[in-house]
Amino acid sequence: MIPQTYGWYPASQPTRHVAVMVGRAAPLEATFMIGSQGVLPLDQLPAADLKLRRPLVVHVAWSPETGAYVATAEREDLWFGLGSSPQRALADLAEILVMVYQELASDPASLARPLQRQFAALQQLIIPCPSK
Amino acid sequence: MPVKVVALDKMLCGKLAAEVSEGGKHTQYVVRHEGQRVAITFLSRSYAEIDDSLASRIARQLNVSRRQLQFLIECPMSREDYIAHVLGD
Repeated sequence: MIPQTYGWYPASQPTRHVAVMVGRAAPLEATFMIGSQGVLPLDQLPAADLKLRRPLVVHVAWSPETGAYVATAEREDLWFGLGSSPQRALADLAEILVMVYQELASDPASLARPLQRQFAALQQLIIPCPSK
Repeated sequence: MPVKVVALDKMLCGKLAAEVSEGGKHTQYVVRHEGQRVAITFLSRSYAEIDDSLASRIARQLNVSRRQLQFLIECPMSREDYIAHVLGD
């Protein structure tokens, strides 16, 4: 898989507080919110399931074998999203992060050591919203 | 080498006896052993095959190497071997 540069997304959609660095260029400067419906516009932030503690760099690359874009969080590359466009791949990654965090947080006492480590890493990244 | 999603699903549900739950676009697999959750992974229902890079990431989610993932799919590695490997880590 060769990362390709598609530029900043979605620069043309200022209502979304999302900026995804695509390719190998400069790191992401923005933070974003993620929810069960994927990446949420700013006006839907209260409905978010989770938010991020810090900026997160997401790489999106085209996988010719799979026939999909792959979104990978640079510092959390254990998890990834797939999609037919960079946007869909990002939304897929967001859904995955929500699902795995909720699964791990549902009963932390039952986690074996490898999952304890994954949960600790995700807790460094994700803040659950108080309303959830 | 691409990996068929159906082969991964068969290995996860069969050999590893993972608990399966369906998300929006994904199937979630949770491997348990004696009440502990050992590993979690996801497969997209939108794709029939994944490439080697993604297979390597799924292997990391399962706490095995890419080669060990292939052994799990092709049978040389048993559930007992897998659990011993992961919990002995």
